[in-house]
Amino acid sequence: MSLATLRRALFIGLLGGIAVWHLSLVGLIPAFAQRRLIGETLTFSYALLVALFALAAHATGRRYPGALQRVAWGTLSALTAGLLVLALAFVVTQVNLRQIFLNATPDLARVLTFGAGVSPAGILRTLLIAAVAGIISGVVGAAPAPWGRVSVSAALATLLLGLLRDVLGPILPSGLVSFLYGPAGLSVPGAVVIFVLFFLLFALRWSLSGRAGAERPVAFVPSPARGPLARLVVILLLASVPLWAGLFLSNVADFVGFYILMGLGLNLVLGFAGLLDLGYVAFFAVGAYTMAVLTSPEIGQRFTLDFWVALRSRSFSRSVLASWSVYRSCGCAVITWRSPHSDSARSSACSSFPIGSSPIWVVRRESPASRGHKSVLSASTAPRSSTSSSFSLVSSPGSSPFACATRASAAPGSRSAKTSSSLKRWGSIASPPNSRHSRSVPLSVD
Amino acid sequence: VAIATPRSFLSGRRLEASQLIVWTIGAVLLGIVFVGSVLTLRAGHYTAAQWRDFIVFGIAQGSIYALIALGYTMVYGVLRMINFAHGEVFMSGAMTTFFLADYLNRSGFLKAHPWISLIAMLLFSGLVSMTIAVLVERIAYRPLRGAPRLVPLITAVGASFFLQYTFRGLFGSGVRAYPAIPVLQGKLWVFQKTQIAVFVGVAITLLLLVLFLQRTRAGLAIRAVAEDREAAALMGVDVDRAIVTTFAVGGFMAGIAGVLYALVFIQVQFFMGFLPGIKAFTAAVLGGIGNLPGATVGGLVLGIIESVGPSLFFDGYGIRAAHQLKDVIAFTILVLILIFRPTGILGERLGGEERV
Repeated sequence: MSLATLRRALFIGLLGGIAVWHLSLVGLIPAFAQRRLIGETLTFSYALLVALFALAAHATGRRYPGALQRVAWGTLSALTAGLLVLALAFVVTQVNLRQIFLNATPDLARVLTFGAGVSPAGILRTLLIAAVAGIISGVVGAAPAPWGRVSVSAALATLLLGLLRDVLGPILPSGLVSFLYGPAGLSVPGAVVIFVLFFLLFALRWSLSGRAGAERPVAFVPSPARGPLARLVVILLLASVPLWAGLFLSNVADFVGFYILMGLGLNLVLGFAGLLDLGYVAFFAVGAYTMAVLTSPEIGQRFTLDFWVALRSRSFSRSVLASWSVYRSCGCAVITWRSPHSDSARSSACSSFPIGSSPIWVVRRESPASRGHKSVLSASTAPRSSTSSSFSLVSSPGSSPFACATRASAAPGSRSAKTSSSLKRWGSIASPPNSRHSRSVPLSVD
Repeated sequence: VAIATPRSFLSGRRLEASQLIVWTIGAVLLGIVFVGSVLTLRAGHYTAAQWRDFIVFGIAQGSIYALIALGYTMVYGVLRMINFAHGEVFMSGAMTTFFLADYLNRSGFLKAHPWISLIAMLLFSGLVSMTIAVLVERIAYRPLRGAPRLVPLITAVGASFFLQYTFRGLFGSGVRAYPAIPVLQGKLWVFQKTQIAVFVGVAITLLLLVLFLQRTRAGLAIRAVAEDREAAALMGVDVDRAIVTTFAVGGFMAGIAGVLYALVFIQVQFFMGFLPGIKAFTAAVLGGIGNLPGATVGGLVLGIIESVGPSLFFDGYGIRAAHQLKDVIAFTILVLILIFRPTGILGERLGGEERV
C-alpha cells in the first residue's frame, strides 16, 4: 500500500462526493425521491446514490488486477463518498441554507441517509450501503470477462423498465403489467424476472457474437432490416405508432421525427457541404411561423386555413418555400464570407441571431492541397468493413471525399482508429491536428 | 496553406450574384439607418440632454461589455476557440455575489462601510468567476486540446447550458434584486453615480490587466502562447499554465463585470449571462477578435450604438418602444461586420496564422 494509491482512492471518493453534492443541491436527488423503481423502497434517488458510490469504487478499482485490491480500494473510495454525503446531510440539518440553496432542505438530508435521517442509524445505514456498493462494484468488475458487463447491463435495463412504467403500461397486455408492475415501479418478483431475462439475453448475445460483445461495433440498423421488405415493415410499424402507443409515446415519436428530419437536413449542410450551421433551427422557426400565420385566425384573416387543409395545400409549400428562401439568402451571405478568420465568430453570429442564421464554416474547397489528395479520408481512415456502412447515405465508398467522410464519422472507434490517435478519439469527423493535407478534407472545420 | 483573400474566390457567376445580393442588403440597411436618423432628428422628440444620457448610459454598458469581451478575446488569442461559457462565468459571479451583498446589507455593514463592501463584492465575484472559468477549462476544454475545433466549440455550448441550469437548480429561477448601495445613489453632474463607479471599476481593471500582461512573467507567457503556441512551448513556456492563467484572468474580469452589471441593472438571475455574453462576443468581433484594445473599443462602440441606435434609427419611422430593438441592432452589426470586415475595426492582431 503506497501513499499515492491511498491518495488516489480518497481523491476519487472526493470527486464522487462532490458529484452527489451537485446532484443534491441542484435538486435532482430530492426531485426523484418519490420516483419508485423497484418495490416500495428503491427510489430513483437511491439508485442514483448507489450508482455514484459504485462508479467511484469502479473508477478507483479498475486499475488493479487483483480482486482483493480492487474491492478494498474501491470500497475506500465509496466510503469516502459516503462520508461526504453524510457531511452534506449533516450541514443541511444543522444550518438553514434555504435562503441560498433552494434544495438544502431537511428532506434532502433524509433522502441522502436513505430514509433514516442524520442519526447513528442513518450514518450506519449510509456507510453500509456505500460499502456494499463498493464491494459489489469491485466484485462485478473483477468477474471474468462477460459476466460483469452482462450483469451491469441487465441491472440497468431492469431499472430502466422500472422507470418506464407509465410509458410501457398502456402498451403491454394488462395481465403482464399487473404482474410486472406494482403501484409505482416494478414489483419485486417482476424485477427479478426481468433481471434474469435480460441477464440471459445479454449473455446469449455475448456468446453469439463470439467474443467480448462490447468490442464489436454494433450496427445501428441490424442487417436484416436492410432488405426492401424489411424496410417496408419498419416503415409500417413506425407509421402505426399512434395507433397502439398511446398519446405520450406518439408525442415522443413526433419529436423523434422532427429531430430526424432536422438532423438529416443538418447532415446535408454539415456533412456534405462542411458548413456547421448552428442557426439551422432558425429555418425550422421560419417554417413554423409561416404555417402558424397562415392557419391562425387572428393574424392572417384573409388566408386563414384549417391546419389539415393548410398541410395539403399551398400553405405548406409556402412555409417550406419561406424557409428555403431565407436559407438561400443567408447562404448567399455566407458564400461571400471567404475570409479564413474567425470561423467560430460566424457560428455564434448565427447561433445568436436568426436573420444571420446561416451556414458557418466555409470550407476552402479549392485549397491547393485538396486537389492532390482528393480522398485523404478514404485512403487513410475510411473503414471499408461492413460494420461501418450502417448509417451512410452514400453508397459508393471512396468515390467522393464527402462520402468517405460520412462513412468515417459514422463509425468512430472502428478499425480506422489505428491510423492516428486523434482520429481514434474524435471519430475522424475532422482533421487531426498537425496534419497538413488533412485540412483539405471537406469536413475539416478550420 | 495559403490563405486567399476573399476576392480571389469570386470567380464563378453565382458568387458574384451572391456578392451583389449581400452588398444590396448592406446598402439597404445603411439607407434605413440614414433615413431613420434624419427623420428622428428632424422630428426632434428628444432633447440634447436625453441624447447625452443615452450616450453616457451606452458608455457604461459598453465598458461592461468590454470587460467581458476581453475574456473572449484573450481566450481566442491563446486557444483559437470561442469560450461560449464565458457569459455564464459572468453570471456565476453576479449570482453568487448577490448572497454576499444581501448578507452585507442585512447586517448593516453595507451602510457602514460601503466602499469596503463594494470592493469585497467585486473581489468575491471575481474569485468565484475565476474558479468557475478555471474549472470549465480543466474539465471541459483541456481534455479536448488537440481535438478538431468544432469539438471544444460544442463543448463550450454544453458547458454554458450546464452552468446555467446548475445555477438555476442551486439558486432558483427567480429574479433577485441587488441591494442599493447608499453612496451610489443619485446623480453627479450628468452621470448617475453607479455609472461613475462602473467607469472607475472598468478603468482600474483595464489598467491592472495591461500591467499584468506587460509587466509580469505570466503575462509574458500568455502573450508568447498567443503569438505561437509551439514556439512558446519550445522556449520553455508552460503552455497549460499560461492557458489556465488566461482563463483565470478572463474569469476574474467577467466576475467584476458581473457585479458592475448588477449595480447598473439591479436584477440578477440565472439566465442573465446569455445576452451580455453574446453581446460581448459581438464586441470582441467588432473590435477584431484576438485584439485587446479592439475588444475594449468594440465594447464601447457596441454599448453606445445599442443605447443610441434604437431611438436614433427607428424613432423617425414612428416605431413605438424602439429600445426593444436594440438586440436586433447589435446582432445586425455582428453579421455586417463579419460580412464586410471580418477582421473587425482594429484588425485581428493575434490571428496572423491559422491553426488547427
